[in-house]
Amino acid sequence: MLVQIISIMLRNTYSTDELMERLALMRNYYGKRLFAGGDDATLQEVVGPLCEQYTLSALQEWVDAFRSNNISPLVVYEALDTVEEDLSSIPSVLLYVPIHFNHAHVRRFGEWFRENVQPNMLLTIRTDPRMAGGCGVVWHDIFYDLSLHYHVHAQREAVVAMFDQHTHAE
Amino acid sequence: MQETGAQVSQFVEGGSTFDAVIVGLLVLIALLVCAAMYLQYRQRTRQLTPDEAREVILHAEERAQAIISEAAAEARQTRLAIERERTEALNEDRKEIDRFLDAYRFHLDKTIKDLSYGVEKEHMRVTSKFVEALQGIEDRVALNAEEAKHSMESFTGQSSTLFDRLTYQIENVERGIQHLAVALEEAAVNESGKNAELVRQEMQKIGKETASSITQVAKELESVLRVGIEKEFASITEELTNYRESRMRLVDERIILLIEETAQIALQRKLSMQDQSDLVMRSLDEAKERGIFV
Repeated sequence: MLVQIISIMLRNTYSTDELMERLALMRNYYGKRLFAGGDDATLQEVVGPLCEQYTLSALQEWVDAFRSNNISPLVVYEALDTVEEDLSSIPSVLLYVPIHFNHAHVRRFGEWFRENVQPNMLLTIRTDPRMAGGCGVVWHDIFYDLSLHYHVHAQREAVVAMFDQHTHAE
Repeated sequence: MQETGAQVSQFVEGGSTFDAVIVGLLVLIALLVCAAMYLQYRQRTRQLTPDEAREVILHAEERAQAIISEAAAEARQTRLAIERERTEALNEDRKEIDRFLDAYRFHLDKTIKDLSYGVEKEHMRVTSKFVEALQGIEDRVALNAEEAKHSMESFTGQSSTLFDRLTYQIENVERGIQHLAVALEEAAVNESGKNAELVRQEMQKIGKETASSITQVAKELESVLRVGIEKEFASITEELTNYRESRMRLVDERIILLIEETAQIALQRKLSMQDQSDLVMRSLDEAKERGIFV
């Protein structure tokens, strides 16, 4: 059951930050429904003021999926802590990007990793302006510089030759 | 009782905060049930009728049930209170994050404004380093020039010695000619035929010696000149080559640095989020081609 719950959560969640935020919001929602007399409370009412529309839609997809798979709210509520504690068991990659990207781009990066590297992978995204023109990746504890700095130095001879050509230097 | 057990197990699986409370309550309930059974036993031994005994047991069970219900309600209330606190804490966190983001944006704007100044400062630093490096090269060239001068002085000294030797040989020739003049004078006075042969032989001897000496000196002089000039030429050529290579290397470094800095600034300022995203994707594709994610 826990595996099924995690699988549903990862369908539309691509970063650890997103997952942590959504787990907290779900704890609010199911807490209200189960223990605060809010049997009829909707997701919009409980967590709407606390998150963006994008996140609210993603959580609605979770709730719908739980319902269609006959997973009771109490089971989901009790699984939230376990998911949070076992976060390190989900495969992840550390990605350094030059600017703060919105959800759509995070989803784009996440889908690339799931398609090309490993399914159900989570991204831990950090912003570093030095990664301009590309990104940096920590994979298996090794940092790979894929930024402009790397590309310029990799093409050093060609860059100097091109510069010389345009400046008529010998 | 089974229902009660199910309820208790539900709460036992709940948060660890309530475990102690629930366990305590269960122990209390167990004690009460034991006490009730003990009383029942005592009363039965004191000639309780079966109906009375049954009533006592039912009464004890009802009390136990009531206590369990109260405990469950209390645990639920406690849990709700904690959930409320968590929600409030989450809201506080969000506000704190918003404040942090505002401050971050402020600093980011400031950083971008300072960026031009920073880049200019970095250019000044690199240029200064470049000038220092050039100065070092010029110092080395000056040192080499000094060494070349020393070599030239040495060469001049050798030439001077050769010229001295040449002068000495010329003086020898002059002395020979004077000796020849004396011999000619003597020939005029004495028998001309006999002395004429003597003069001719003397002249041939002097001429031969002089020619040989001058040729030798000239050869040595040419050798010294050629070796010296070739050596100096090779030294200067090497220095010029080194100087040119050092200078080109410095210029190349400067070009790379300028291009990288300029491109970074341009990328940060001019590219849209979509463009930045495309660059990230391109980098990831290249990383995959390089076999990083194996």
